[in-house]
Amino acid sequence: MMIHYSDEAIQEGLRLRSDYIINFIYKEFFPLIRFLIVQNGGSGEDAEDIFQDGIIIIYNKISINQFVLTSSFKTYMYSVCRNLWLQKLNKRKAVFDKLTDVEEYIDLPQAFLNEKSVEEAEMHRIIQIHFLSLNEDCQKVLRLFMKDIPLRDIASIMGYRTENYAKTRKYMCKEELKKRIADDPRSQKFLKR
Amino acid sequence: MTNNFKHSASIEQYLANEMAPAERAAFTNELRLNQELSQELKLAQSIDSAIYNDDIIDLRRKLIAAINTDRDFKAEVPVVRMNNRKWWYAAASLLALCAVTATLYLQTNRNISSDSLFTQYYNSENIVDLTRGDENIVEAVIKFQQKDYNTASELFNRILRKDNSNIAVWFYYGIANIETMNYENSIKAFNTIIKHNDNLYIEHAEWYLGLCYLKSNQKDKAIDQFVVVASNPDNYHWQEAKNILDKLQLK
Repeated sequence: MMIHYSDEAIQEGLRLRSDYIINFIYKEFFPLIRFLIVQNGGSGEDAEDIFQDGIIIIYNKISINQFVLTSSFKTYMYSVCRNLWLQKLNKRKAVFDKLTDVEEYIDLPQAFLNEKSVEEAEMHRIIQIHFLSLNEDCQKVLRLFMKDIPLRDIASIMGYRTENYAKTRKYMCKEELKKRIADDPRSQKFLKR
Repeated sequence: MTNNFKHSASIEQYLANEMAPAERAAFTNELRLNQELSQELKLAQSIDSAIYNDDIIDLRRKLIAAINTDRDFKAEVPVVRMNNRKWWYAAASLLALCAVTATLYLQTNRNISSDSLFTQYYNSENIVDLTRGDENIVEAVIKFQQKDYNTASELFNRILRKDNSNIAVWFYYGIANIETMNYENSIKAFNTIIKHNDNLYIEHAEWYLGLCYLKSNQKDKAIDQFVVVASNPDNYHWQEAKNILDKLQLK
């Protein structure tokens, strides 16, 4: 039997990236989001994308203390995903009279989801998915480089003999990542700009 | 953008602040004129920005895991109805898939014991799917999915005590008992299915019966059983039975 968490617990659990809470959110709210997307011209895959983007956006708000619940978490989550899907439909120039809602929603502030942040969320999702598909060694070396750790230390942490090899390895890993992203049809619209 | 990145080296130097001032100025100038360079730089910058935050990467990993677990679960447990003949075909296809995997595995392993032969061929992961229509069966199948095979076996047994004509339940019961290593019960279940002689579980029951004999050190009976399977080219487990017989006769 699944434990039910209060909205405060969900918020705190998400802030801590608790496995339990993430699984709970997925099990509890994803069916609703999928229903919304599928009812409004999307696919199950679209629903997964929107769900992930919605959670990351909410997490970002929570982590910078900009998250204030004025409704239930469910309504909030639904409203964020609804907004994301509306933007996506507009971009696809999809013909639809009115979104068919399957849950009550709140109006989010205009600045909450601007076009740039929605696009960025989408591009970051694609990049992160491919990043996580790289082998552990590649993920680690790329992340160490992102932290501005001295080359000597990176070579030592990774067990590479020379600093030069650490640099070469990072280069090769990033090239592989770029290749995977460029091969992904979902990223074409971002790459052609 | 193609996936041939022509400017990666200079872009990495630029992003890492490793360019001399004149070189950097030339690069910046080139950016204004060269759209391809500009696109490649944007991609490299997006990557850096997307993987910068460890917490976000951690959250993404967990989200992907939650989604994949759900997908795997659905793939393993297709929802089909008890009285629909498609159920049989679905189960049979999954079993065939297991068998192919096992065959591939066996081909790479020559010297093996009865115990390890059993382990290689037996895999309950893809065997049974969710059944609708009977609450007691559903409860039992849920226990089965949760890998609580003791409870599942008990519940299936309870159903069979009330009505022993449900062949699907006998099959579940047989598999649950393999998982709990009560091979006598499994043998009884698979023999019941075979004796019934008018159901689509027979060939699977014949195969699993052989595996149960193998596991309970009844090698001769196991060989006889695999001969039955191997003598019917239409049996889903025909090839596996032939392979396992080769192995058993080599020992």
